[in-house]
Amino acid sequence: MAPRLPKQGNVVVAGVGGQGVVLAGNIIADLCLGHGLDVKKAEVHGMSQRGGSVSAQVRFGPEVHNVVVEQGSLQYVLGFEWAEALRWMPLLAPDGIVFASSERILPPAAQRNRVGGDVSYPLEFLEHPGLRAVDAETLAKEAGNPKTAGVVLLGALSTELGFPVESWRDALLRWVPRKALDANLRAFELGRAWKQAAPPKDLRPQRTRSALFRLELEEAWCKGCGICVDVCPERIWRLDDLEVARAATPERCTGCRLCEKLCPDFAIDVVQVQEIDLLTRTGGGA
Amino acid sequence: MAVEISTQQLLLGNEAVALGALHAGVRVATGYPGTPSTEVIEYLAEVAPKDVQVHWATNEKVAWDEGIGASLAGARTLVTMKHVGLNVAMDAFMTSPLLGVNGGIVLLCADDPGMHSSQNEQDTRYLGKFAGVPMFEPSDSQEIYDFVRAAFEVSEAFDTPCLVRTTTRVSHSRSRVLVQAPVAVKERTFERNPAKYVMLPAYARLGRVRLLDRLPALERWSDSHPFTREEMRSTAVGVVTSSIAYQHVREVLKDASVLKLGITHPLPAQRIRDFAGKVDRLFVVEETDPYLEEAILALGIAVEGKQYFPRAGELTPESVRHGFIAAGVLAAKEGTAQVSLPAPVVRPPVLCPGCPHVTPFLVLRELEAYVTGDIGCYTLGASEPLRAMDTCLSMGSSIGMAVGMWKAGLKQHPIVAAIGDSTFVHAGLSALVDAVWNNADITVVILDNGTTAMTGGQPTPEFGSNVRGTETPRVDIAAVCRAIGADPVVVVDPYDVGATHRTLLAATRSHGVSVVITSRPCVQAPKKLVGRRYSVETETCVGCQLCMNTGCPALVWDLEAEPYENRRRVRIDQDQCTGCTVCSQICPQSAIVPSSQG
Repeated sequence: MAPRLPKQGNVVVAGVGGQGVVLAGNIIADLCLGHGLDVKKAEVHGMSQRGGSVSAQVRFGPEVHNVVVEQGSLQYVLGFEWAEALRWMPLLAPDGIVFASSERILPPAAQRNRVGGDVSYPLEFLEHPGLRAVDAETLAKEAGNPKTAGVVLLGALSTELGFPVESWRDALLRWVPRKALDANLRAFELGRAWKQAAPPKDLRPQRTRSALFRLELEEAWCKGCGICVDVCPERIWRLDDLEVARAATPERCTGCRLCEKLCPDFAIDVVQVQEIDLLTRTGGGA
Repeated sequence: MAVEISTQQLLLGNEAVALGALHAGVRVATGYPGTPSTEVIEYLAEVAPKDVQVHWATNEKVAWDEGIGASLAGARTLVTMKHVGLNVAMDAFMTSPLLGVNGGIVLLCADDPGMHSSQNEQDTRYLGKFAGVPMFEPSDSQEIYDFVRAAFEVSEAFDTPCLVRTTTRVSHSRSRVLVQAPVAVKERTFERNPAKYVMLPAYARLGRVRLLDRLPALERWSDSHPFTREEMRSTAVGVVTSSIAYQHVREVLKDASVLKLGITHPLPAQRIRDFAGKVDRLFVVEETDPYLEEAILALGIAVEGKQYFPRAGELTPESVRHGFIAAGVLAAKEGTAQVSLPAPVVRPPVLCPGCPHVTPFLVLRELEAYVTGDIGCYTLGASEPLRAMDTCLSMGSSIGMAVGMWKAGLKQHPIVAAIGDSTFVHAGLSALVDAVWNNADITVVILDNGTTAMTGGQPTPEFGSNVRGTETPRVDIAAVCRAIGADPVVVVDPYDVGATHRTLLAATRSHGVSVVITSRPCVQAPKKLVGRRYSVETETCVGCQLCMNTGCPALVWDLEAEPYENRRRVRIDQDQCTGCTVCSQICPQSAIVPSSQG
């Protein structure tokens, strides 16, 4: 049974630069406009497009004033990336629905803990009644084009946001590139038949113990060539005024031993001193 | 492309500017790219007939000078820029109302409250008042279209440039626009009139008087104009507002009476007085600075505003609601359970995979240089993990600041100015002359990607074509630097890590002003560039993660592979890799190799 034609609503499309967020927002806005509704849409341009969070907010109804959605009134979130979808959940209306791709794009900033290797990645809201995980990435590949993941999600949204399915297809026709049309229409159908997928896996480290290291330098052997300074991924080594290597921030050592291996004078030793518990960051025995 | 007339379209605010100008008979349009104003010129380039001159200028001041020239020669003219761009054009802008116009001229200046993509947050309305020009503040795309059209008429009727001031939310949102038939514009040409157009002191004094005489007439005009709109509802609360703040007020406080100002200089003083007399409590809701509030207080009218509404950042529906709750106008919302935020995954903007700016910053970091930075994508070189920039002030400031640091006697490490090619042409040229003239011991690194990348890849003077793709002469930046007297001037390929290192090391060790131009096209704009992709040989990778010091988003932890001595090995996301080879060159294990497929 077809859901009722929506009279007003607030939709947010969220993702990462380059995923087609703005285009998906245009398709939804176009659809509402075609049904005689007033529409306003806020977009993100400029700096955020360089790998940052990108969103489009679409508000529609008989008369729309504001372009941005107020907290507690967001009805639908279309998340092209898991964490980006969850970012909008605090704005959700009590009966709001989130279609979140289970795809996970780890930003460089989430991968800085080189010793522990753990990623803090949100797994909150899993019990939220409005959260629907969709494996859009796999379905898009099935449709023949991995870039159609956004349209898979539009298909899923179309099962809740009850505009006639022909109107959705017409809007797609107007907005997607002609040569990719078939794949997009297939992706839309696969999205309409969406099934609850598993949310992304917990990324907390499987191993809970790692080592702490001490850096030892045989000063008399160091001739100040600076190779260790150049190769250390954590930029721990510095040359002092006497052109002798010094470990400026030894606590950052991850034990990769690059300095030890590349020192032409065998002046550096990386010594494991103790293990630590990665979750509690407390030391254990040596 | 033909323009549809009298149909409803969902237009971006900036597209509405372009269409409004086009339908008002604009013949010359210019500007300098800057978020959130950039799309105006780009859209015009797409839709305007070929006899309309659409072109980027090298900076905002040049754009405004071109605009005034075109206006005096009889063309209706549109000039676009962002708020900080107007600072650059301010010298010419301030004097232009003294000259007046021939063909109408409109300045579209887009502010960026909340600094989505800017280095400061300033309220251009003070500058409109400062210059004494009529100022329009639209609140959606329809108003942008209508106001821009009207601004051209007003410009000619009152013999003054006009300012249309938008903000990010107005420029970068789409809403319905009903467009009207284009007007036929009277042909005009330049008529010599030195007393009006040559600002010698004797003539400028007359211009100043003309400017001041114009203001009362403009005030009567704004008092009677339909863009000043009184919406009477409940008289308990009245709100004077403009721009996007109007939309917030209408959404949050549906019953309040509103005086909606479309013209915010000169202010319609009589209408404000009348409105204040009709309501019990008068508020001003406005974004950023208390421009309206101060003006209304100066009229001797009691008004409440910034004590309830934030001055910093964008207004939001929540902040407007909270303001009215604090003022006792709205009751606090009941039963809104505070939802806790998920553990934030920070996703700040980063340099793209394959960005040619990475290597110079890796090297500068290694040289521990004092790096004065500049405005562009490469400002991101200041953040983790590159952390290779010490200052960033405004367009072109890097070179002057480097000279200043040298004058102050900073010696421990080399002083390096890092500036993009577009920014260098914008405001770096005269600073380089200054550096050479002062015989400063600095190195200028020109990060030359051949485009204005941050704003989406607009052509630059060395690009070889303009915004419409027509061929243009190329300006040779290296030749310009040599002509100025910098020595040495070296061009290097930033994808060659060794060469970039050697070149920068030599340049920073040489005396006087040296210039290193790192030359590689932007991988994102105007065209996406992809070479042969690379991947990590998992069995060779020792998880040192040195490659991740480049900050390349394509380098991710391999969550599937067995860790090496408890460290994550690295994987290259094939969808993101552009094949720049930089990580492959620095990998101590030589574990990064061309992918077998693709």
